[in-house]
Amino acid sequence: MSYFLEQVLNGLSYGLVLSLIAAGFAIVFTSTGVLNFAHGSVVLLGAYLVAVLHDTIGFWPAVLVGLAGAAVVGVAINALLVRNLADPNPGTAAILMLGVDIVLLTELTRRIGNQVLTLGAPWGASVVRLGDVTLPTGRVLAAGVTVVAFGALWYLFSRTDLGVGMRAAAADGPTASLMGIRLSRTAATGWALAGILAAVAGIFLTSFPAPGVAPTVALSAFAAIPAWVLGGFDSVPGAVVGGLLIGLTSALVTGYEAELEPFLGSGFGEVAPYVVMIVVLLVRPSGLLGSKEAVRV
Amino acid sequence: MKHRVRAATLAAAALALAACSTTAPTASGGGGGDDVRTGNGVTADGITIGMITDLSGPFAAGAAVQVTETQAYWDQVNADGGICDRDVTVDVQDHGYDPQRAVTLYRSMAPDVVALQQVLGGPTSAAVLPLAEQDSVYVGGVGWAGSALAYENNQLPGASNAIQAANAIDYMVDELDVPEGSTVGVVYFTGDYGGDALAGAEHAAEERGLQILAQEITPATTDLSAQASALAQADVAGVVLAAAPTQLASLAGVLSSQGADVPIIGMNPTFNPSLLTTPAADALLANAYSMTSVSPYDNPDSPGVQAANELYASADPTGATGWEVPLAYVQAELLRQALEGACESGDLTPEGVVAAFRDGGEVDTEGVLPDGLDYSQVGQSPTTTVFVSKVSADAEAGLELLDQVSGPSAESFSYGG
Amino acid sequence: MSPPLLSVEHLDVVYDGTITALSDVSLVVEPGQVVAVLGSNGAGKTSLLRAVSRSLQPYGGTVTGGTVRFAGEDLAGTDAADVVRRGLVQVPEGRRIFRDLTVAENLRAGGYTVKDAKARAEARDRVFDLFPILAERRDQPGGLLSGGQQQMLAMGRALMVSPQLLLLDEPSLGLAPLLVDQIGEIVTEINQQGTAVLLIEQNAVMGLRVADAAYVLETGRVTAAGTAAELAASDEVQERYLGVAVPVVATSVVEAEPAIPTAEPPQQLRVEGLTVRFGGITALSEVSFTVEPGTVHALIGPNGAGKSTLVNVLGGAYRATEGAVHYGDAELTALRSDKVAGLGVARTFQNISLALEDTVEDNLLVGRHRLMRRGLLPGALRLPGARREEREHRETVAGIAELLGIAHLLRTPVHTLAYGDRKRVEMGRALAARPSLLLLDEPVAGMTHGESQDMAETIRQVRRDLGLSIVLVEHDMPFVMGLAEQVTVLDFGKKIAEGTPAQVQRDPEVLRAYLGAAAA
Repeated sequence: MSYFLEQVLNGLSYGLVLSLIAAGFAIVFTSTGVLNFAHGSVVLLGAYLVAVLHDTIGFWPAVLVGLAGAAVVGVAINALLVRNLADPNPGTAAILMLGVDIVLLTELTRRIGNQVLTLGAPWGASVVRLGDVTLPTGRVLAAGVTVVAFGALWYLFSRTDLGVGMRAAAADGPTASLMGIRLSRTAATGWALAGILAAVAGIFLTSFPAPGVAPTVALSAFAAIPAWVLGGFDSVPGAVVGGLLIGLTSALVTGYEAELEPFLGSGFGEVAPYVVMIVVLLVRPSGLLGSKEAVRV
Repeated sequence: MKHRVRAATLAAAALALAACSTTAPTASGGGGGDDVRTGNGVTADGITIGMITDLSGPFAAGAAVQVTETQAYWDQVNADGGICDRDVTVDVQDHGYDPQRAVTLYRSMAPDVVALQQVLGGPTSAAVLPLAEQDSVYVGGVGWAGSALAYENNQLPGASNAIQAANAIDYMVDELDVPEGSTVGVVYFTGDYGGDALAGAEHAAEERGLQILAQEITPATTDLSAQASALAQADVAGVVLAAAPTQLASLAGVLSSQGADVPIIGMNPTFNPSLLTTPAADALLANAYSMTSVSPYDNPDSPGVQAANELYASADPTGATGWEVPLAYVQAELLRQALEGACESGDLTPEGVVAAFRDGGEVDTEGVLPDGLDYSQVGQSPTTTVFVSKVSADAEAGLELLDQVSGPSAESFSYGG
Repeated sequence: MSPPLLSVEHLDVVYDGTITALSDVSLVVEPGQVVAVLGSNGAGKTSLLRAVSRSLQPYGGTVTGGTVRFAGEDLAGTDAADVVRRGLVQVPEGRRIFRDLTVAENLRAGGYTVKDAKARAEARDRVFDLFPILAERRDQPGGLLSGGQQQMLAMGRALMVSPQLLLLDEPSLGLAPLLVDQIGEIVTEINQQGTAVLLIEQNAVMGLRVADAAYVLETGRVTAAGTAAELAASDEVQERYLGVAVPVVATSVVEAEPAIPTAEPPQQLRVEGLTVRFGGITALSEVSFTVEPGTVHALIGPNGAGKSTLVNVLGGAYRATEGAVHYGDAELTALRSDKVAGLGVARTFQNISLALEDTVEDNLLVGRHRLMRRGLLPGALRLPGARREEREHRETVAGIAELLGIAHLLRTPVHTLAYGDRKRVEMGRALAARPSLLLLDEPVAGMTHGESQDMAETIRQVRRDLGLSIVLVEHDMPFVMGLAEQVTVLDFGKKIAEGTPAQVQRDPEVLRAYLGAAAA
């Protein structure tokens, strides 16, 4: 039983980290209509900045720089590239983002080399024991920080002018600008938020139980794509639910691989998130919480 | 990245002139001035070999170390008189870990090289190997997956992944007190590399009376909490890991945090010295071993490894050290011996080079690879001997060589049988 | 003398660098005034508002000449957000409320530029006083409001910045007469609270009733201007926009032999006990009626009566929860929408859905798709058979365009067309499939009286020349009365009356539910 509980908690905490990334996808998508395939390298960038700076300026200042750096890069991608796109259709923007991803990732890979850079996180490899259940401290912290982050997002989007303005701009940009809402500002805010969320996720994805910053971390963002899609492309709560579902699924399928192998074959844990995504989309084509507009009949 | 050294040109030309006086040039080949048959990539005074590697993709950093070492090696060979009185030029090309590009590069290079010292990467070499086999072009290091053994033109630098994994199981039973009847975990990358290792481990487990708990992962799996929990739950007595450094550190760290104090033995590329700066360092120092086909960096008893390291230190004094240094050295060394063999048998053509390394003659790498390598049997690992190292803070590049072993189940393992 | 609140002088607006939307338009709004701009669709009314609110750019429009001054200051170089901060707010056409945001959040977005919490709270209270229903439904998503309530929310949202000048773009569009009256009263009340209003209307009755002064805009130029009373009295305005000079008479059913027969003769359409539920909401409840072959049958009812739901069931887009629809021997309700088209049923949409970049001809050819026998390959290879077939299709399409009066526009891209012409193109696309039953969903929504008279004539002609059945969904009562042989009236998803136009017009139930205050 404690094993089951441990896998569940592991899955949920990992799922929360995925949901940070998925929420970033969703926020950029709603605020600028861009499928941000460069998100993975922004995740890596945030963690990389912390890894190279923690020695000289200390871990927490490095975290601030990491978050800020990821936010600035997001804003810059939007301001320099997305906004100047001659043909502003989603397909072109998505391909542009793939290009940005390759450039960023190649540069980061070159800098990281074949090293595994440690993050210098103060929680190190410590663990928290609750009865029989052992959880890495980093994971417990990740869950806490993620919950706080989503609380802050909820507050922003439902209780502040900026957040309501962002939602209005996402729903209908031209109309929102008739209310005096500057679309360039809401878009920049969206990209900055996504960058910050990505960096937070990057930090937790590269600290214990993961060893450190290696280029493969950028691939973790792809693990968040099913979470984003099944939550509904444009829904932050959907991203949270999607992340939890994906995290839980992969933890349980992997944790019970020995028992499941006769039916599913080995290595199903890697495929399971996509299977879940496809099943969800078959039942609900717009995702779990994606906008099926509130329509009056 | 073309690099040409003409140090011995004069001497070679003089020799060629002398040879010229006694023999007529052969009809085939590039019109060499001696009695050696030549073909693609060989002229009267030069030999071109190729290296298709990853200078812009995920393995760029390690590949750069290998390129540096390779250049330094051939520079030295040229300085010592070259091969068959010819200077050797290395044509280095970058596939960026893209199989399509690797194939394109191979096609454009094949007419101009006598052999490929390396095609780096699993999917990339898998794309190139069959083409090179049709052309009878020697291909050196492509990793250690058993699938590459089926190609006559491929020279594996040491024992295959299955042999490493089988040895890992043998070593656990014989030296690390893993009792008969216990369960051992195998965590492996999906694909040739991981699959081959799993096959070796399964064979050995059956021989030695162990159970296997296999867990497949991908390179994107950087957090092995779920896998580690499952292993701890199954109360494994040891783990064989066929993955990359990130996975080794994560697995070791999580297993130790869950109180599973068991040995973890990684295959060839699973250790990297930078892991010792991560929070998993203690766990690695306590439990991690490496089972490699090539000697680790720190091996004072091997003249070959010493030569390799010195060569690298002089070529790039500030470069990253690690197992790539002896690996690149020994790949160049294997190719040099094949080229010299071809020269001696008077057939310095691509086919001649393949025939030369397959002729069953003595291969001596001065301890970089195990002694007694046998390349005469296509489809089987050239050796059953591997190097066992333990992660150590004191050893250079983090690995302390413990032993060379050839376990019973590694010896009884046979491909296709 | 203080400058006028808004003064537009010699304004020229061009879209995509080539299409002129406005030329040499001048207009003045004094503080406290309500000014109406009348004109048919495509006259440039919306472009005028966008030029004033600095929101042309997202639509590809630019001001190429003239000036717009607000409170004496030239607005050149400002953007939409700037003018809002100066007290000039536009309510866009079609309401455009944020459907997923609650009513309160919609208002909050409207007050985005008001940073003073007290000023904002006061503005919100004023909005709630003006529209008590919004206070009542403040926590519901905007998308759940009715059409009239959405219009109120759109206006309330604009009032959140306590503007000096409110720009209203077609506030009565698509609303039933009762609601139009109500919106008119609200505009007057807003004005009495001190806000000047620039109102754009195709409903000239409503526009002239609330306005102090008015302008008539035609194809981008001002053709008449004056006080509301002067314009209301002018013959031209009366005839074109008020429909006064053209008495609505029910035309007799034309029994002439159709000139161009349909591919298949029309059949009887029987709707039997049709019920449609979405979740817990019943959109249609046990509706039955019969459309005889070759007749025009109208479905009327106020907004939200279930008319569009019914058309969607007939077109195969929605499933029936209970009941059945038969067309001849076939049961429509058992078929997918593509199969429904195969039976000879074609439809138009309430909101025009055309390929805007393509020419009229290409859009019409899309309607032929079902009838194209030769596959893509012969077409791509331009084999003789395919070429002959293509020529036939083009001839058919040209004939339909001729019938609809859009033959001269065949080579024109749709996006340059005026609204009324687009409606015709959409009808033409449906007709191109040579249906035996045509479903028209609000064919005259958003048209002036004159335009809808033209449309009525076109529909008559289509029925006469093509000999098909037409099911017409409308809430414009006079339009339907002169056109249909049979009328079915829906209200709240139920059939409340049925009969000839004359019978229905006298039915007290219909007068009460549908015509509302106008009938009282």
